[in-house]
Amino acid sequence: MDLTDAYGRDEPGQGDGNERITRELIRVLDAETSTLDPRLAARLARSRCTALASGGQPVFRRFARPARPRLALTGMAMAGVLASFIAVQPLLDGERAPVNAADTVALDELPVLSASDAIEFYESIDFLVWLDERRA
Amino acid sequence: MSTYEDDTRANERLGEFLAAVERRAFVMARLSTRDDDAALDVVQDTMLRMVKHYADRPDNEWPPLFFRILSNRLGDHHRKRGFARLLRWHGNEPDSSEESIEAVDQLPDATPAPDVALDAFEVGAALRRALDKLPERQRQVFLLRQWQGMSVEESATALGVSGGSVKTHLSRATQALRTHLSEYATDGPD
Repeated sequence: MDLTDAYGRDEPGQGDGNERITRELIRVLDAETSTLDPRLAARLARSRCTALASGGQPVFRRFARPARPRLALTGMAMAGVLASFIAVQPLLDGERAPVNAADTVALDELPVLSASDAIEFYESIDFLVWLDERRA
Repeated sequence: MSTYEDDTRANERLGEFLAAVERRAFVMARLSTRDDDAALDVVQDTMLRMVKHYADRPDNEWPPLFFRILSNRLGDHHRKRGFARLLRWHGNEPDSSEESIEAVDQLPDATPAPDVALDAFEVGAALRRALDKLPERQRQVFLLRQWQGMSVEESATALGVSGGSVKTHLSRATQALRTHLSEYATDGPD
């Protein structure tokens, strides 16, 4: 090989030198292309097949597709749990509702309220007991 | 039915086209990125976009469109790398020193190979280095015009520039290559 020509030295005309440089560069690049590492070539081929099979969709989307049914099931399950919680919430609220003091009933009044006799009857008994104590 | 067959045939033709250009595209991308993995990513992204957007275009439009996408993706790659460098410069990225050392190690050696017994190897290495030294745009024009054999118009379409710009870049690239090689011949081994 004539190194002088390839380096562009001592050329009779610049055009000839440029052509030689170009020719040599193409040779170098062609050699680099044809002697590409087989692993790299395989990865390139795999990329091409992936691109053609996916129709140009990004790879991560293709991987995401099988997860869609599972995603829907998970969503439905979560919606069910949420609906159950909403349904039970009023019951929980009822148990936890604050007690109004005005509505409370003293324990000693329970026999009076639970009795079948009229309240006036118990009031008159109280009066008679009081009268009896005065007389005594 | 016939539409399905047409689509299948077009897909096969596109597959053949991609198979024909993928290695050269990779070499071009590697020249630009100086990294195998980055170059593979760029080429894969280019092929994905090609299939997605231009599969139905006429076959003769594919080469400039493909290299247009490749050129754009390489531009994106360099922009991202520039932003990452900016972040490192501001100290937002830890352990950047080790990464920088690794990156420098991956760069092609600027000095001539010690083993210069084989003339062919020496010439090839010198040419490769000269090509590495070219500015990105000049290298792309040179590779498209001289290596891919594209016309001025096709190269202009591929790079998104005017025909005049292609001619100017090619002329400068050739001149720069000549200069680099002359310097090597003067400084390097006889």
